[in-house]
Order: sequence, then structure tokens, then C-alpha cells
Amino acid sequence: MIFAPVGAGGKLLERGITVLGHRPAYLERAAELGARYLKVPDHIWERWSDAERWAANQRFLDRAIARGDEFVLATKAGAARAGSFFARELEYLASKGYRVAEDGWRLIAPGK
Amino acid sequence: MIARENPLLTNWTRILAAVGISESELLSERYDPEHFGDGEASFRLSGSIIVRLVRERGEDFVEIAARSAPGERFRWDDLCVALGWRKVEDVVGRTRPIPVEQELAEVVARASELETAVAVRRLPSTRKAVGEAGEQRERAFLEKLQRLADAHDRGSD
Repeated sequence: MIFAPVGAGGKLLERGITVLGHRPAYLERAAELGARYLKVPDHIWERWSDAERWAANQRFLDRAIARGDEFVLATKAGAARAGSFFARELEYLASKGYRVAEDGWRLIAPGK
Repeated sequence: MIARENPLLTNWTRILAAVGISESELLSERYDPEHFGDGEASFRLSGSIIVRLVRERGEDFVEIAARSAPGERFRWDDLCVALGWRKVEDVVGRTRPIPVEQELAEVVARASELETAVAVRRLPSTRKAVGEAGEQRERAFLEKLQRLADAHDRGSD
């Protein structure tokens, strides 16, 4: 499968950090932290329907949740563009019990 | 790495023409094939308005700047809230972005009001109103996230 969450060292199963946000901030923050982020090249992304895109996005989040990754936000949660994939990611994670930290820059896992 | 032509420009230029913006000057553009085909382009329209189109994960967003302050960009949503054209709850309640054709058609329909709002004399008050609109939007979205997390907790009790 070509699309994959990218992480330093390419280790996909270890608990780590997943970065979410708008571009270019999430690329910069992920590079800084050696963290995972969703990366799909244009020729794949353009082929997918909106539902397929969201399904891939959701799988990426579900895997991060399953690993117990920390979610770091490269764009403050409140600044998510309305209706964007980033906003939907935050809504999805909130529906799983994640809460925005007081400073707005990370998510707190349910029960923590 | 060989630079690739920005494929977004053809589509955006066609949309600009379709909504009635036949004269625009391309100021800048960028395209990233490695990351979803994200990109952006800024167009100077006739008058005082600069429109910046942003493509992120296949979705387009509109920003507006004044010709006198091209680096200061306002989100179209925030500008609409600030000028009383949209309600914060409608913006935050959205589950998908509004299609760019529709957004640009509204920019055209509001062009004369927009010209006034970004005119040098009015820019400080517009800036203040857009800042307040942005704060309202951010608060409302955080409250929405809080409600979703609360609902999760109630469900798992």
C-alpha cells in the first residue's frame, strides 16, 4: 500500500507522536519532533472519492489511537478551518473522548 | 527535483472566469505533489481585492487580502461573520467546506461591500472585526469538541 503514516525510522507499530494540523505547520512540526503524519501523494489522493479519503484518514487516526500515540497539534485546535479534514479529525477524536489541552496544542487521551 | 506545473491553476482560473472574474493577475502559486496535491495561488482582482485560494487534501478554501496589505489575509468565513453575512454557528456546524465555486460567486456578489471593507481607510476596523469573528469561531469550535468528548464520556459511564 503506498499511503502510509510517515514516522522517523519508519517504525509504524511503536507508540509515538502523531501530528495533526494545517499545512505547512504540520509538516514542519512533524519534522521537528520526528513524528508521524498522514502523507498521500496527489496521484493516489485524486483517485479517491471523498468517502475513501476520509476512510483512509480515519484508519490513520485509528492506528494512532491503537498504538497509544500522543496527538500533537501543529495548528491550534480552535484555528481548524471549518469543515476541513483537520476539523473532522478533531471532531472524530473528540467523539472518542479526546479533549483539547488547555494550551490548545495537543489532545489529552480519554481517562488521563 | 524538477518543478511540476501547478495543475490547480487551470481549474481555479476556469472557476474565476465562470463566476465573472475575467480579469485577474496571478501573484504567486505553489503546488506540492508529494502531499495530497496541496497548493495555493493568489490572484489580484480589479480594484483593491486579492483572493488567495488554498487547496488542502483536495478541499479549497478562500482568503481575502487588501491590495494595500497583501500579506495580511482574512479567512473568507471570518470576514463573512465580521460583516454580518454568516453566523458563527453555521460556520462551525459545517461538516464539509463550501465548494469554492460557491464561495467565489459570493465574493463576486459582495465585491462592492468588500472593496469598502478593505479600503485603506476602513481596514483597521475590518481587521478588528475579523479578529473578533475569528475568536468567536474558535470558541464555538472548541465548545463543539468539548460537547463531543462529554457525549463520549456519558456513553462510556
